[in-house]
Amino acid sequence: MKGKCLVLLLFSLGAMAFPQQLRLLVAGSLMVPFQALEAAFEAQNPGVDVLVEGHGSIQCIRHVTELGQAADLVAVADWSLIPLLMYPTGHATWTLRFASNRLGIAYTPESAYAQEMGQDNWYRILARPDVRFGFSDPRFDACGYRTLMLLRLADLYYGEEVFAGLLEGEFVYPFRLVSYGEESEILVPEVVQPRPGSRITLRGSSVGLLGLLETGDLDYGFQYESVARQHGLCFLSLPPQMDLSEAGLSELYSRVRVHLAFRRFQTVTPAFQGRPIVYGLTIPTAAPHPELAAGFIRFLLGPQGKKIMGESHQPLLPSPEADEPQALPAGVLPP
Amino acid sequence: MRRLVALVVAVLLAPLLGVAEEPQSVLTVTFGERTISLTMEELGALPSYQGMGGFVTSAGKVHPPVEYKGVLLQDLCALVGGIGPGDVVRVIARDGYTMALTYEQVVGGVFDAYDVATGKAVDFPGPLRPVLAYEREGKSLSEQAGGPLRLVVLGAREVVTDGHWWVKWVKAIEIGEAVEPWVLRLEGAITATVDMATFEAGAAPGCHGRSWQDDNGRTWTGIPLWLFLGYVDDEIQHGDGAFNDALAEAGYTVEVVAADGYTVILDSRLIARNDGVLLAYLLDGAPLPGDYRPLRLVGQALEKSSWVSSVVAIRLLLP
Repeated sequence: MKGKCLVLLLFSLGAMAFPQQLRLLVAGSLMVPFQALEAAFEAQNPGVDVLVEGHGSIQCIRHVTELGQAADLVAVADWSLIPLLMYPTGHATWTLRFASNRLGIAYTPESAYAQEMGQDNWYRILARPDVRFGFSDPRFDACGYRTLMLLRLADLYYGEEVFAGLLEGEFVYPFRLVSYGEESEILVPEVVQPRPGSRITLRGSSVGLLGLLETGDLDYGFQYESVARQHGLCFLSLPPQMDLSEAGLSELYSRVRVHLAFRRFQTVTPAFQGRPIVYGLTIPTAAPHPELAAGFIRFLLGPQGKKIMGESHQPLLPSPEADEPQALPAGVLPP
Repeated sequence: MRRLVALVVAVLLAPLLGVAEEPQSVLTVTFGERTISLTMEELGALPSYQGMGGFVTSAGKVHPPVEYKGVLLQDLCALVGGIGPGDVVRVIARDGYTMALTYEQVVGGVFDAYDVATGKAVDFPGPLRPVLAYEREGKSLSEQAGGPLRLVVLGAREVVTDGHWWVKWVKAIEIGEAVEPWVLRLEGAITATVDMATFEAGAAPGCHGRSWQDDNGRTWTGIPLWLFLGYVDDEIQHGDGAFNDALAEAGYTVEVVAADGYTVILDSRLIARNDGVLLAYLLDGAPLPGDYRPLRLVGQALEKSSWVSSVVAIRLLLP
């Protein structure tokens, strides 16, 4: 008995001295809930050290596929990037769609005309000459190209020229909108540069807009609901016909496509079709700790994970689902 | 001017500075037909710039500033003629990752800056300088740190900028015009759009790319028109069965539409499997002149009056 206790003690000490490291590469908009998940999972699993690393979604994948880095889990803001970029090279074989989000407008009570903002007039307020607004650069950030989709969908919903009304004349090289009946192609130039004196500010990521809103340098910023609420900002929800949140509106969203002239990654064809915002995750085939990563996913989808995600305004899908269920590690999905 | 002379002299003299073995080129700088290759020794002989810089990731994580040393991007551009307003500088990594910097960034140092402690946006006093760094804290840049050459953004004092500018493993710099995107609309039994990137990938040598020399000795490069017909003439878009020969032989009308609405009408039997009718995107290996962009219909099988500039759509009027 004494010997057994000694072994256990030594094992525990060993685990404390040499914890198993679980490396998670996650989209920037997942950082807040995943840091909370990290703490909770570590508390439940002594001897496990979770390392959460945030990047743009495409960059998360690129760390595995092109930079050859080891990662135990990859979680991105657009699930379709995983089959597109990881399957052909054998870096992953399945994708679990697990969470959703919506796109809207973040602001503060001090933002110009904040009291007037509503679903019916937001685009008229943003068009006022004394209002400053921003969005993330569509060349670098999914939230940025999704904002362009939102503006075009707003054209269709309101029957007014929202896209042109807000963007025309504001950039050195203009965004171009080409429409064929109900379908639209948005063409993004290689250089996206607001004209001097423009009311529009761009940042490399949607998270980069938060500080400008908090300091009053911006009145409004297009943002994911989860990120806006996690940072205590006001959030104007927009009609589902444009906020990219509704699975049932997939066909409507798909009528808008964004093409980038800027080709940041050789392996990424820079064209994106409108679709509902659904987050996806996978365990890369070369993950050093696949079983531990599967345990983390079980935790994420379990009661504690669900609570943490809910508190972070990043709700889990009611029924997370895999595109290739037979490839999913056993026991990952709740029974 | 003195600086430019010093740069050129430095590049010319560097090989004479006692290098025993044939040094390898680590960087090419290109502007149009002018290309210069540089070894590490040649880079080291150029006027250097030293400063502090760090970066913030898209998730908001700050990598604090450290000291870097390298060559100003502006100086490297000067080696091939310099950058002017309206030009962009593409910094290309060995894995294909590319960033495009504007004249205002390269010359004027216009970058967003962030607070070193909080990562929040700040107004940075004084210009920021994009630098191709070869040293970090006095040592050669390691592979892990993005070396041997990494694009960094430095200031006279500590500054943090967006991480996407910090290109690792730089192997080439290209100066050129900013690319404006386009799409080609295809309408037939189905509809489709082909964007610039897809077209260029398809026009690669060994894929569908073809070239043709006209009577004036000019070489047009692009993709045969019949391949686009095959894409939308029925539900089969790819592979050997994509082009519907029976349909084309029976005959249908093909409209080639320019941006201003000008339309040329062709017969499918003229185009079928005919590599002599091209949608060209290059002329003599360079992008088409402005009036012809994005695509020009050309080819030996066509009367010159049927050549169409600024093609934006192909319509198949199927029976």
